[in-house]
Amino acid sequence: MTVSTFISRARRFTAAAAVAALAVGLASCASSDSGTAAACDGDTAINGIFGEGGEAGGQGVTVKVGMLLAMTGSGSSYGEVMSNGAKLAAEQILAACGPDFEIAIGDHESGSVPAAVAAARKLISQDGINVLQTSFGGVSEAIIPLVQQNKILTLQGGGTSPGQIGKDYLWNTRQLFADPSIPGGLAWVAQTYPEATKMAVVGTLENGINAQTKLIPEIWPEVAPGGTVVLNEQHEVGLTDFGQIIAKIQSAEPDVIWIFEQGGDNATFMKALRRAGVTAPVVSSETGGEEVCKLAPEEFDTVIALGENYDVANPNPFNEQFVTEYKDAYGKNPDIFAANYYEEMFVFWELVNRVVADGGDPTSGEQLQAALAADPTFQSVYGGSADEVGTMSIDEETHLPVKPMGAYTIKDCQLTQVATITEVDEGGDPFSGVSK
Amino acid sequence: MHLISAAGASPSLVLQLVVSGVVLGSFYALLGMSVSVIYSTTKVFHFAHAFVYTAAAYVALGTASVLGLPIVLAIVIGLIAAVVLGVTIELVVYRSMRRSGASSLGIFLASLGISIAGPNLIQIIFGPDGRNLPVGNPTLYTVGTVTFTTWDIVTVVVSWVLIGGVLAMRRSRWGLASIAVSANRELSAAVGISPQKIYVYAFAVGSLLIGSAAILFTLNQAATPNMGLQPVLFGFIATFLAGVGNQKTAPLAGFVLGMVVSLSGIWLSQTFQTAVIFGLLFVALIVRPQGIFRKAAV
Repeated sequence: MTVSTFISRARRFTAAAAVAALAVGLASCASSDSGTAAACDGDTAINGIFGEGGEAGGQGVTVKVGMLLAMTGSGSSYGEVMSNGAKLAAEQILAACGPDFEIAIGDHESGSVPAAVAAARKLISQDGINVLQTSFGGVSEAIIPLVQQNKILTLQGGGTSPGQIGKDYLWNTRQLFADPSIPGGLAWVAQTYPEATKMAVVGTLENGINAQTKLIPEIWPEVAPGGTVVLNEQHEVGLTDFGQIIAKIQSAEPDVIWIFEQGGDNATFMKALRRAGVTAPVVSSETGGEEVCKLAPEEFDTVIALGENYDVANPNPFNEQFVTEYKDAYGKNPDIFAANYYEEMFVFWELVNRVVADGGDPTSGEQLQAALAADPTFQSVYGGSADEVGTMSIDEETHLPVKPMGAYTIKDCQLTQVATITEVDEGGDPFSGVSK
Repeated sequence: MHLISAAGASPSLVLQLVVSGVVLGSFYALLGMSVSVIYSTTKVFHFAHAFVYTAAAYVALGTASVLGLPIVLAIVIGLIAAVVLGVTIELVVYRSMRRSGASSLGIFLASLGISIAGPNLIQIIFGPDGRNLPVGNPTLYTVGTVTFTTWDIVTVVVSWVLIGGVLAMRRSRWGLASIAVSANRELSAAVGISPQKIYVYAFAVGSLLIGSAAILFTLNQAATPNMGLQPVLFGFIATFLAGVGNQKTAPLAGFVLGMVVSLSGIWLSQTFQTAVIFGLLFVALIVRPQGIFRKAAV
């Protein structure tokens, strides 16, 4: 080997090693695991709510928690806040002398089914997870057979879809997106805008398809005399050019627009809509969050949010300490996704406690699910009052939670509730689902 | 799901889609020119262009938002960063690999790796949330039933001015040398043209164009770490539609692509946008593999 050949090979090897190291380093940073363990003192705010911890509280038990999230791609902001919420909870639980929840994150690349299945397989077979937190609709439906075969108790707090209802080992902590609020919500819109007849519907293909294509076209004519849906457009998550859809809205001249956008898509759509001079009222099935407020504050102030809402200002003690700790850790307020994945970790803790109390194996998904089914009520950052921690119940048949819903006006990114929305049974009077 | 638009083809819809198509087409034309300048000269599938695109936007908004520099200065710094980054990738990665005898596939994979690792790096630094360039709301203009904004006008004008500038530069010493290298690298080297210098020139010009596209995009939309891949992909599609290596018609192909995408909204839902783009590419590659326009002389 000549010197020049050696140098050439060495340079090639160095370049390859550097690229590999960079890629591995960046990948590991993008899907970092649980935070550093805090010392256990048993006298934290969490202990005041969940008890002393210790052996009865699962101390000494290690539970491996998988998280199947959007860590890359257009929805990666969701993955970040969801993992932030869960990591904070794991640290707090450990500091409260509870179990050690070790978090491993899998990336479904913002809704890619093949990526999700591969990531779930890795979490189960290589990381040896005991429980799982999943997100997004389609990918979570795709991994149901895997979690059922491996008896992995799975909680879903990010994108409940019809295909996830009532599935063994999969329990939802977020309501079915949009559907429960549609009848009462449409009745509220009809009451609030009595002259409105023409409605346009715009949303993503990810969630709320049933509400967009079935419920609204069926119920709107029922609650608004002469009501018609003049435009019904769906698009992929992360769309950046809404020009075509805005043109159709301008042409259809709707009296009111109902949108089913998620996260940053809300901001992109609202900016494009208002910049095009469309002034029709907009109802959104998502209440926004800090990212939307930051990106399109003026435009989102013209939106009426309708549906499930997480209230940062809720004085419930569990929520208050969560918001304070979250802001300290991450420098911003938590949103609905951070809240859901945070409180799911406490659901796991309560289940571990119950299984330990029964002398069972707290790492068994089968036993954890049995404990959940036996009493599906948990302490929650939702509801409650300044003196009382809220509770969340999950329906044993549908595996869906019951959470507060409402219609909210938005001013300076603050939501003000203007009506309470309740679910209406199929075929029921939509106006029975709204009260002011 | 409503696959076919219920809105129908009213004259106001068609006119608005034509205006949207002109704006979108101009943007795609700039992307096509940017990719074509680099590919036709260097034959590198420069997917790392996506990183350059994203970096230009983030440097501009970082200097404007974090350092508080005037927006025009921030944009200039963003464009300089794009040029520096593009040239650095050529010098540090591609040139080293060429010297080591790496294959085209190896260089492509390295480029693809940068296009993935780069945005990850940006996400680690800035977080995954979208960020706005601190520019005010544009003025809305209404002509009949058609609306457009100041940023739409800026996008169309800036895109075509830059494209015109690059095409005009083809008559300069550097431009002619670039055409020579593009046509025959070895022969041009034999007559004293340095292909290495021309490659740097191509990467500088291409990066300036893609950086400009990123700034134009960020005037209207939030910047995100993953913002670069789709526009670069569309730039490549425009390049292939024009006929590989045909710099002159790449912007026209990009414009046609934008118009077709926009006007497809007369009949089709937005859901079909991606299918329309790749469908057009598919048909063009089968029916007119030399490019959708008559091949111009290089």
